[in-house]
Amino acid sequence: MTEPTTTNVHEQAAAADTGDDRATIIRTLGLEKRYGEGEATTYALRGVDSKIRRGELIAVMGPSGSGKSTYFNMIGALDSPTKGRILIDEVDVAQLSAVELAFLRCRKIGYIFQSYNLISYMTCLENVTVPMTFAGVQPEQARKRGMELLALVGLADRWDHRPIEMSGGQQQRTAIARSMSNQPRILLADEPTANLDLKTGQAILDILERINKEREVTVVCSTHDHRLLNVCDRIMWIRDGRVERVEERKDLTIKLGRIGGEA
Amino acid sequence: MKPIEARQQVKLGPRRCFQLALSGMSYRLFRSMITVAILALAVAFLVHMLAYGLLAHETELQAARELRESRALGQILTRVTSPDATASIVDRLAEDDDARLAEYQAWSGLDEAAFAEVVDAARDRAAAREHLISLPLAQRVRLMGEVEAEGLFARLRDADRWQRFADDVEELGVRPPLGDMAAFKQLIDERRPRLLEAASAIHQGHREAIAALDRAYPDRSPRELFIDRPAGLGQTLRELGFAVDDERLDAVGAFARRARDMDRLTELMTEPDVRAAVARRMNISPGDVTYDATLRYVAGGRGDWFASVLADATAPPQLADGEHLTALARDYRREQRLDAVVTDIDIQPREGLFGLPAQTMWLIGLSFMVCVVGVANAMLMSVTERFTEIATMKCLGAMDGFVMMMFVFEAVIQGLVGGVIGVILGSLLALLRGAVEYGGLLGGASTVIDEVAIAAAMSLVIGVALAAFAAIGPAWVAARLAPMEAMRVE
Repeated sequence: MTEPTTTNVHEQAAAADTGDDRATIIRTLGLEKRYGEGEATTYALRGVDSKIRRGELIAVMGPSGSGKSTYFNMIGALDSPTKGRILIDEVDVAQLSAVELAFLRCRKIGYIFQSYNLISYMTCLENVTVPMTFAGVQPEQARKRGMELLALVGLADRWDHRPIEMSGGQQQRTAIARSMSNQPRILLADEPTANLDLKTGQAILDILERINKEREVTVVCSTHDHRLLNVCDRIMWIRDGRVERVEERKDLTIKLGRIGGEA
Repeated sequence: MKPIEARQQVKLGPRRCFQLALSGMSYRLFRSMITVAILALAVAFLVHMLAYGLLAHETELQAARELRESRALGQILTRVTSPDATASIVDRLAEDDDARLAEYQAWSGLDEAAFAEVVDAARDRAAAREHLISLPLAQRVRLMGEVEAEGLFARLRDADRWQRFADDVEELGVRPPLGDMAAFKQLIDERRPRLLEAASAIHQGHREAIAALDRAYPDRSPRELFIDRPAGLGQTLRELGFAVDDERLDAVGAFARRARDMDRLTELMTEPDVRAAVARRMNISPGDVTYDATLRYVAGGRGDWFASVLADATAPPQLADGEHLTALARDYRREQRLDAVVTDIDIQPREGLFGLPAQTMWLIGLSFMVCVVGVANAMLMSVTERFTEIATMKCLGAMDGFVMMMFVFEAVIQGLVGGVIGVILGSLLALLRGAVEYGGLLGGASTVIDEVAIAAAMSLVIGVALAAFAAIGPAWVAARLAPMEAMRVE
């Protein structure tokens, strides 16, 4: 395994952020994840230090097997690291009880999955209101808020359709509405456009961008879709379980042609 | 580091949980149906076993009671006809039949105290006999040889034989009859001879009473006597020592009338022209006409038809009434059924809650274990195929307890539905089987309907508890599922 060459870049970025804790919403320190013991040990993450700023739209990119998904599970408080710490809003996730974790997942983080994960026996609106149910919102109010969210993603007229009656794009838009239902501060989108065609994928990205800009929600989005690079604030490259480099988009625009050619 | 936010996730009430479980179930109707079917079958089996057991026992109990009553009526007729044998008097003196003991005392001519002594001796004799019979075969042969207990008692009055018997008892180390050789010797030498004497006197008294009755009502058989019921019959019988009250007299009269008519009918059925007439009407050959088949046919409400058949042939006017014939045929059928149903005339009332045999309990227990496994498997499948759904819910803020409750609720709902279906199915099955086995006699078992209802309610509760119990494991698996599973791409 070669030593990463981007350590300096990363350290510089980390140094630049020190003293600016308020601007950081998710921070990982020396994040490491191992599977197996002894000889059979495989590393998914080999010490990831990263900062995600409040209100930014950050794209996490990397080839499959790079540890991107593991990183996502970690910052989503869905999995616990072998070593290192995850701080969400300066709270160490490892120290939260099961009940507090449920609270965190319910109201602070919204999840968007590659395969939408809508609950098949519920209507579109019911799917959107499930997290509100878990948060203890009254059904009447939950329905009202759910309809607003469906209007936001442009599905207000399909509220009583079941997932099976909707297209992939519509399902993913429902999933976005659902993720927004408890007004989270972070949206984690794991390859949201991977199962969609170009046009629908663009619509999803547009909605994510709009949510990010209008509602000031931090959006962390992992993707292979280079169009995301047009709208994101920063790009985090992950390779071999490490953060290879973190780039600002404004530094990237000139190189865009090369990346496009690469893909 | 800032302190951790202590705000916690809202705990959701069972109502929401119930609604979610219900909507989930309605979507996966087919899988739910399988679980419901398993539960319904198990509950149906339990209800059927319990309900049928109760109904069958009660039916047999009542049938045995009816049969005993009918036999008792027959015995009253016998007792005014022929005297009891001395040997059976000795046996019956040891039995707990107050009416008969009263008769025997009257015929023995003994006073209260002396008769009590006789009864006492009879009981001791019966106990000694019981004890000897219950010994292991080798010991019994050694002590008794080839004779019955009564023969042994007679022989033991001989001093030599007694000595040999006493030696044998000591050598074998068996408990002596009555627990004490001295008491047994006294029974053999003094009390038993007196008992035999008294029995003989009772027999004589009985014979005299019958003779006196015959003198009081000459030229009438006892059966006719009871049918005609001349005034003062009860009084006369009681004066002669027969223990018959007036109420009983009516029943005996009806019984005697039926017996007489049955005999007449039997006689008629042997007449060739009656058989020929029946054969003509039933369109069969005269050789196939049987008493039984004819009466079965008549019992189906064809008394008038049969009356006309008899009128065609040479029938006495007593049996010309169609309704009477139908009733007679039905009585005959009922008695036949009673005989078929009663396997044990001395059948005892149930003990315990349902009084089912251990074998049945095992069967029920085993079937329920199979059912638990089946339900647990169905629930586990339900959990497995919903991994993503459960994990997604956990990502959206569902807590372990909620997920667990949801699955247990699902099982409870299935248990309730399956239980109700099972109870209905099982009860119907028990009724059907009872109707097939016992026919019209089943109606007598309606007294246990309360217990059947309790059994059904209990089965329902057991079914629900079982479903919940079977769901605990799979629900636990579901509750512990990592929310990370939701990220997995299918």
